[in-house]
Parts: sequence; C-alpha cells; structure tokens
Amino acid sequence: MYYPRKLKRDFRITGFIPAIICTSIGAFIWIFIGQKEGVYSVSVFFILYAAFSLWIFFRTRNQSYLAASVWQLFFGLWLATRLGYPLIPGIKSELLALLYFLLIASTIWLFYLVFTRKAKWKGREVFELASMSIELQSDGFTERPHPAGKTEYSGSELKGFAEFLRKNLIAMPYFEVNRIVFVPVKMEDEFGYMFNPEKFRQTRSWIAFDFIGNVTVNISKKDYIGYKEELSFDQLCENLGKLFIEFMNYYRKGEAERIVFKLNELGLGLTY
Amino acid sequence: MNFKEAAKLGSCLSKDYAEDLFRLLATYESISASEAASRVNIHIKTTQDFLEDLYGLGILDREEVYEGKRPYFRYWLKTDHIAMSIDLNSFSHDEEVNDSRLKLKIREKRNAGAKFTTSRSNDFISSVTIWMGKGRNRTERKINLSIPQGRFLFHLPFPNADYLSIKEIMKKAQSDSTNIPEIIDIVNVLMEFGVIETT
Repeated sequence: MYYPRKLKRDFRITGFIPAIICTSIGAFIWIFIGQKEGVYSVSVFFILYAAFSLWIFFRTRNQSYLAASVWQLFFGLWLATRLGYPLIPGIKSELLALLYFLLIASTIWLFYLVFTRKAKWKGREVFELASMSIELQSDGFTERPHPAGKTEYSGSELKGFAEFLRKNLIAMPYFEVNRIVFVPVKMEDEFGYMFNPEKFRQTRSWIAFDFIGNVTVNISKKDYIGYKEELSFDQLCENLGKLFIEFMNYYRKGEAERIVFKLNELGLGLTY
Repeated sequence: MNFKEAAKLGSCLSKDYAEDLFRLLATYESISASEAASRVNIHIKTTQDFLEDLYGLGILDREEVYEGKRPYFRYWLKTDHIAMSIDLNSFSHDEEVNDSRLKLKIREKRNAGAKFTTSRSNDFISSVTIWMGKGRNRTERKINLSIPQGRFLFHLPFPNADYLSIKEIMKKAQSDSTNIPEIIDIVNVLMEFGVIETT
C-alpha cells in the first residue's frame, strides 16, 4: 500500500558520523605515521565504540545495539590481529578462526536486525502515521498540550507498554511520579536523546499517559515544522493521541507486534 | 458609596496632612484654602484639591465669598462622621453569568503570541504570558491562574479547532459551577488581550 509522505526528507548523517570520524583518523594516521598504527587506531576506536553501543543497549534494551556492540568488538579485535603485526602477540590460530567465525555470525545477526527494521528509531513513522488524513490548515500551532482523551489500563500495563515502546525504539519513556511521558525519537536524532535526554524532551513532542487513564499530547514547534505543509494542528494532536491509545489497546490485547507491523508497513527508508 | 468614591475618600484620608486639615475643619466654623494651607504649612493648591475632593464627596459644604478681592471659597464640615461602606457583591459576575454568557463559543486566537505554561503535574495551565507592543516598547504581562481557570484553559480549543461554548469546555474540564465567575473573568481578560476569540 502506498502512503503519501507528509514529513520533509531528512538529509542528516548523524548516524554515520562516528564511522566517518574513525575512518578519517585512521587514514590520517596511516598516511602520516604508518600503516600498522593506522589500523591499530581504527581497531581501538571500534573497541571503544563497542562500549558505547553497549551503553545504548542498557539504555534502550534494543537488541540491535547489543548486536552492534558485539560486532564492533569482534571487528576491532579482528583488525588488531591483521597485517602480520598482531596487537595481541602469541595468539593461537584456533582462537583467530573462532574470532573470524564470531565476526561473520555477528555480521549476519546485525544485518538481519537492520533489514528487519529492528534497529530503526521509529519516531518518523509515528509522525507519518499521525498525519494521515489530516486537512491543511495554517496558523494553527500553539504550544499548549492537548488533552487527547481517556483510556483504560493498569499501572503495570502502562509500565509494560513503556518497556515495549522503548525496546522497539518507537518512543522513549520518561517516568514521572503520576505519569509516563513518551517521546518519539526520529532516526538521526538518537544521539540528541542519548547524550541529553532532559534537554531533548523539552524541544520534542510527547504523549503522556497518567496513572488514572488520561492521555495528553504536546507537539513541539520543531516537529510541527518538520511537515512539508501546515497541517491542521488540533487534528494532528488528536491523531497522535488516538494513535498511542490504539497502540496501548493493541498492547493490552497481547497484540503488541501489530504496533511494529503498522509502523514498518509505511516502508520508510532504513536510515531516515 | 460606590468604589470610585470610596477610593477617592481613602486617598484623601491617607494623606499625611489629612488629620491636621480635619482638625482645622472641626475647629473652625468655616475655613478657606489659603488659611488652612498657612496653618498646616502646605501648598495652597494641595489644600484646595483636598478640600474640593471632600466637597465632591459631600463631606464638606462651601460658600463663595467676596471680600474686596477676587472671590474664593470657604469650607465647613457638613457631617460629624464619615462612614465608608462598599458592597463587594457588586464585583461578582453573578449577574452576567446567565445562559447566554455560558453559551459564548470561544477558542484560542491564531498567532496570539501568548505562552501557556503548564503546571508541574502538567494537567492544567499555571500561567499565561502575553507580550504587548513592539521593539523597545515590548512589555510582558504574566497572568497567574487559579487551578479551576488553569483546568479550563487546558481544554480551550486550539486556534483552528471548532469553537466550543464555555459550558462545553467547563464540562470537559470537569469544572464546578462555583468556578463560573472566575472562569468568565479569565475569558474576559484573555479576550481583551486578544488571546481568545469568539464566533
């Protein structure tokens, strides 16, 4: 099914920045110092990057970051054993073969997660879905939150729902005393969330579920101007609220996978 | 006594020299502004204004006299007591709060330029900040809201949403009918500042 795109294209390459920096530094060291040092620097960088990915995994519980961390670690170690100058001297050939096998296996695992969209931050999909069948109407933006309605769920269901959305990179939960606030994170925006979640939340849209069933939506200016055209603001808030209420209903009925299916069905690119 | 008169009387009574001037008025059969000013050692214009205000309030009486020079007024007390009574019920909107008032359909005005700040619990608006004027003359006006007002504004329709009557918004906000006067008050204020528009 074809879905018209309402959001502007995002040409940022934030996700590739660490790889570009690593490759550039490695290339400079290779040229100005030596080949061995260049390869080793890239190797060390990948091992450090593995630790960073592991940290993201603990924050999101999304298995693609665990896969990325494992792959980066094995790739870093594999590089360190190349070029006839092994960083770890005296390493046995059986161990090298095992390392090679693990690298191939983790590469397959990582590719599987990327191509099945399990590694994708799905904020863009959320905003595309919320904007479907909305009329164009200008000058409607206001910074006020919108009461999107009431629905039923228990406290433990809400916490479980939050965990599900986090694991699937749909929206990041912020736990408060009387409610849980969900902030959808778009691809290329993930580092903003990772490094300063509080600041990130202040400038982004959110959907809040309190513990007595009230749902409130707030669409930020930054996200609103991310649409190609000026959409009816109240309808957009209403739809975003309804979308998350629908997600909650799926979750309560034990059909949480339908949420992911619905988002993936839009067929947005893997990197934006 | 209406509020304006009471405010005027209050202002007269609060003057540093009021007691001295009342003492003179109580002592003299009648007194002119220049005589009173010279006795209390204040400017004649100040004394004149004070006496004229009291005359306007009906506390003093006056007579125009001629003594070979230009005419002037002599003042004397018309009453031995001053009683101030203000009916505070007249400030309530109860009279205005009728069906037609609650049926008024409203929504937030487009590009109103107002900032709505939500409470810590995020389920009501705690204040509205409005900017007025341009450039160097731009001023900020912040209105802190009561909780019923904040809950009401939380449910105010967005700029391009359908208008809703005050009654419907109150129903959504689960406002009590005892809160009607303060809600009507904030609606009036925000309409005045161009933050809320009506059909």
